[in-house]
Amino acid sequence: MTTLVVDGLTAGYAAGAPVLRDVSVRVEPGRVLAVTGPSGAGKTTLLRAMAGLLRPEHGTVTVDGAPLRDRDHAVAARVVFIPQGNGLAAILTAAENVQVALIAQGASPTDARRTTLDALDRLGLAGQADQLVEELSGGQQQRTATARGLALRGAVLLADEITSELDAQNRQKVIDLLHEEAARGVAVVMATHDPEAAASCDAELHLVDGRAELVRGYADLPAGA
Amino acid sequence: MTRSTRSMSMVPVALGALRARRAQTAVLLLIAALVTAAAVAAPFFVLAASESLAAHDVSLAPAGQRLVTASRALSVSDGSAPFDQYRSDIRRDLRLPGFDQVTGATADGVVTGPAGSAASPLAARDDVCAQVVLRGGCPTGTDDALVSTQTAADLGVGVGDRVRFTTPARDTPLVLRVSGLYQPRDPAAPYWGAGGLLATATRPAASAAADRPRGTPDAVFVTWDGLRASRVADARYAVDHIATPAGLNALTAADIGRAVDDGAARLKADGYQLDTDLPRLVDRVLTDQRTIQLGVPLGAGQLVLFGWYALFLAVTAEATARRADIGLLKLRGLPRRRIWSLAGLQSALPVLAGLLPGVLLGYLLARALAGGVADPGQRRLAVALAAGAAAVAVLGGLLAALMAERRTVRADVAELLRRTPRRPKPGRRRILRAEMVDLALAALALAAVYQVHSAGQGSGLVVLAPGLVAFAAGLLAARLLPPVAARVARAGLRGGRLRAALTGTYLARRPGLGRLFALVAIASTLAGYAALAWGTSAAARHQRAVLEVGADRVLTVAPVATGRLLSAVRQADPSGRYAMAAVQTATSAVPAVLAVDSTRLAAVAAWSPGYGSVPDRLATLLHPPAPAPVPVVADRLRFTVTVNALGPGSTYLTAILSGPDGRRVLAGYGPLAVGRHDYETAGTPCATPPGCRLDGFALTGAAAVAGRPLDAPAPGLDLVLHSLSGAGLADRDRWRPSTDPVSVGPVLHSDPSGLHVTLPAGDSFTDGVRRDGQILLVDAPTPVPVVLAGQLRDAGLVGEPAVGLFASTAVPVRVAAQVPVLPRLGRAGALVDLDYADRLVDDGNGPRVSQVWLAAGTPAAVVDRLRAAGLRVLEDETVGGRAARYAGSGPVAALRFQLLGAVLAVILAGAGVVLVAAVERDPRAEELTALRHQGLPARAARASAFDGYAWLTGAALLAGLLVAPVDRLVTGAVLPLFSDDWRVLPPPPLLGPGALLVAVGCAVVLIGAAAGFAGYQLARRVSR
Repeated sequence: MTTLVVDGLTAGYAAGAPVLRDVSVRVEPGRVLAVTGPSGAGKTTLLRAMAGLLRPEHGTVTVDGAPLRDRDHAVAARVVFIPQGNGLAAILTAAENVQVALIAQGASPTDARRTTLDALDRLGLAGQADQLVEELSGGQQQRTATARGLALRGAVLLADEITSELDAQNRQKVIDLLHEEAARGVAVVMATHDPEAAASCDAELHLVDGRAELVRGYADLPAGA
Repeated sequence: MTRSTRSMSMVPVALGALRARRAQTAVLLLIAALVTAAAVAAPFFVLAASESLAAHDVSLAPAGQRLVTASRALSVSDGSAPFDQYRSDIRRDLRLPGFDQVTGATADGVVTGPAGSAASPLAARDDVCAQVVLRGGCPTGTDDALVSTQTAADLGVGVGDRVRFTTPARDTPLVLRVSGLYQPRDPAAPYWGAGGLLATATRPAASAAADRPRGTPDAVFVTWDGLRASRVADARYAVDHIATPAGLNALTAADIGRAVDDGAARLKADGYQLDTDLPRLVDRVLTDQRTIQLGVPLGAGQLVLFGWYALFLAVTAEATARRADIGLLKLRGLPRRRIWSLAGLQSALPVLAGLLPGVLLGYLLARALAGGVADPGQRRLAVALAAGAAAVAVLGGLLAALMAERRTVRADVAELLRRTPRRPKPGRRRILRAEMVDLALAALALAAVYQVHSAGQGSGLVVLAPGLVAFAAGLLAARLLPPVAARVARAGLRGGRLRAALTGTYLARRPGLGRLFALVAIASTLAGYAALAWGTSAAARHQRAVLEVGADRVLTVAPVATGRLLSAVRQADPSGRYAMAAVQTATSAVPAVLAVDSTRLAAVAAWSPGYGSVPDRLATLLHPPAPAPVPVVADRLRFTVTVNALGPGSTYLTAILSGPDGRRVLAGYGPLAVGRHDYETAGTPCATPPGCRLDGFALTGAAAVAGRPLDAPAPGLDLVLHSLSGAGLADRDRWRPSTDPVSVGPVLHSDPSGLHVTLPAGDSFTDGVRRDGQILLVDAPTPVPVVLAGQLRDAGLVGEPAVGLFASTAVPVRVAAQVPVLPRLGRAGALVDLDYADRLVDDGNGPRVSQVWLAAGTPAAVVDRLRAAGLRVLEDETVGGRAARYAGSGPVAALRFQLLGAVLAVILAGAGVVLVAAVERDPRAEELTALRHQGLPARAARASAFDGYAWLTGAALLAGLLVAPVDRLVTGAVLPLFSDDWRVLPPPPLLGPGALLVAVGCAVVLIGAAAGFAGYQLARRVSR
């Protein structure tokens, strides 16, 4: 069981004002946290910081108490990241994208192949396994990225806008799968614009202009949240 | 808005797009510039090389091949001669514009001074004083004469002394005053004509390799009036026309050949004789011209084609990168012609911008490799041809670029918005246009290879064959890339090897990589082929030079007695490792003879495997054990002789010895008197050890004079030679008469008292047989062993073979071995031991060349000691120098351009790699970064960035360098190795590992640098 804590995080990109200012949140195992807010509020930035892709200017992001150094550290700590835009390699097929990520994270080739097929099947993509990414629709690509995230079976799962291109049925299926992950003890964070999806989560962090303004479902957040 | 204004309005947009991709634009411009450079370089190279090759051919031709000599018999017995008339006749009949002319006349005779005489011709020649180093004055009066320093020494005269010239056609001797002593500045210069004027002048060569001095003494020069006043009846008037680069060049060669033929006919009709070897030089000039006029444009054309392919690849890659932009423009409904103009301008502008630097680069490359075009007319022609070639290159480049854009512009929006092209669906495979092109090219290459084996050099597709094979093989090999890479990718993924999986996937799926593979493979094949061809050519040049020179360095020295030559060389190099004496006959007698100090042959001679044997073995065969020489160490040489009978007239006895320095020593006794007497002579150089070597005796009718033939005494002589300074002479086996088949020597037998010598009575002689009084010591094997190159019958050595060594008396020989080829002699000639040859024959005055062969690494001190020993070096030739001479021929010039083309092709391929990598850098970096975010280790991501380019270029280089030897083997040497079609030795192997390694090294460095740069740039972009 892994807990991810964001404490007083101020972060941004080079040559610009911080996107996030003094944000704190605790992501607990077995629960799903929704990160909501209007476009540009800092949802993706927060998830990137949680994934180890963005170094805090102030504050910390810790996994089980250890500050995240970089993405490699996050991967080692089993922080799985499903980025906005899917983060799929266009030159690979749907299955290869999942398989490469699994092998990169230490799975044996045989396990990777089996897990890949299971994950794609769970997302309804068994028939698209050998299709190149660009041969998939936007929704299929999004589900492929989700399948990859689920296949990696992390301790923390960060999902950035992974239902934006999905139809209602698939959106629900994806949300259900995230909850299944939480039920498995994973700390899940889902950035979304979708109020229904947010409402289905155990907690919600609402960002406005880089600040956490509304929090639901967490009574014991660190100071400043 | 008109169409043109709409197009114009797209120019700023296109320029903006080009600015945004500066690096790609620069590479595209570089490729276009290289294509133009190849096209422009060809005409400048051909015309400049034509000029320089012709000048090179003329300046390096043996003097005999540069001469056209018109001559006629001349008599000035009445004191007048129509010189002007003759000159006018020749000028009318033989028109060779641009040739230098030297007029001369010669009359054979003997010039005599106080110390001796020499068979020097009397000669008048234009401007002779300008051609010599003179001590004294130029002849001005009718009785003034120039005598060479060598002849003057022989005659014992100096400036101001008198000499007598006698000739059978003149009753009384002509008395001449020596006005000056001369030494020719350059005895090999064509000024001296076709021979007969100088002891060291060249003679018309029977083979290209023969620059052989002759032994005739130097001429005595007088003024034209002096010649007229000599009243000789049997002279010869000649006008030597000397080919110069101005007269015989690329433009005039064919006309000159015809003019010589026509002139010969006219001169013959007018009573003149024409002698020339010029047609051989004309043929060589014309062959060189044909070779480069065919080889260079084809090489350039091949390179331009390759460049267009590179341009097509580059523009395709660029267009691929713009697919999404074009797709969006299409989506927004922009008219197709505006899309065309936008896309077309982005390719056309760099191609057009490459024109000027390309022209400049091409001109500079041609100038660096072949020099400038000197003739104004040819320069104008070169400019016109270069302009045409540049236009063709640029138009072709534009066409290639537009063809590359066409696929993008015509694609539908959905396809344009994809990054990875749609894969063909299984079961719907059909032959595409590109595959048809590949197959057609392969068929053409096969046809060319077939023609190589059926038609030989220089016809049809033959010259194109290597290029066609390279293109076809490269394109076909590229077809293997996707399936092989896909297998590697699958295997990698199955085995959990991510680097292999990602690299294989990249190579199998990224569009345009097949073409890039082909580009690199073709370039490396061209480089490998060019290097192999150059290697064969260089080896052939070296091999020929080694054969023709004989040793790493060969000094031709002024004529010198063989014994003295041997002695001087042995003293200069006591170790026997560096220097070897050699003497080569310089007559057209068959077989040609080369005599070498065979004990040093293995150490000194440069040897090729093609000679068919090893020098150690030949040296053993040439130098079997022989009876020991008889040394004579005494100040006063005393002869004890019993004369039983004498013929009419006086009889003299001469001991023939070789002095310590190798000089011939004659010790004369007599006239002999009947009865037993002791005869003594003093003043010989034999007093101090090692003394002299006894060579034999001569019975003569007059006191012997050094340098003059020994005349035999009258028959009827009967005597016994008892001893010479205490040395017994009673062993009959150690003595023999002369071996000359046309002479009859004394009858010899011995008893304990000494050697009995009898000259047969006079009635035993028949016509054509001359008497000879020589009794020679047997200190050499008889018959003497020779190593023969060529057939016994051709060399006249069937039956009881004999060879005229040094054009002197013939000696019986035994063919100890037959080999295909001998140094300096080629396929026909005989090699003999110089020491034995010297012991067997008198030096005589036969035409021959004295040489000192020097091994590689000979210390300078050895040469200094040779000079100090009195050897005068006339010519100094090295294997490297001779090989460099052949490097100036037409085939080598064409090969040099081929090498340039190969280098440019490799640069083009490297530019292609850089450009493709630049174009795909963003999407690849994005993909690898995405994988990094999913846990791909940084090291694996960076390795993948390098691996793709490394494997692509590595496999293509390997394919190309494997194809190159195959290409070479199936197409052979499409260019001749030598313009004179020299084939004395079999050509070197088509494949030389050294040359291929050099090509591999260069290609790997250039392409590897491009691939490394591409990988580095990508790796930098991949997220850490």
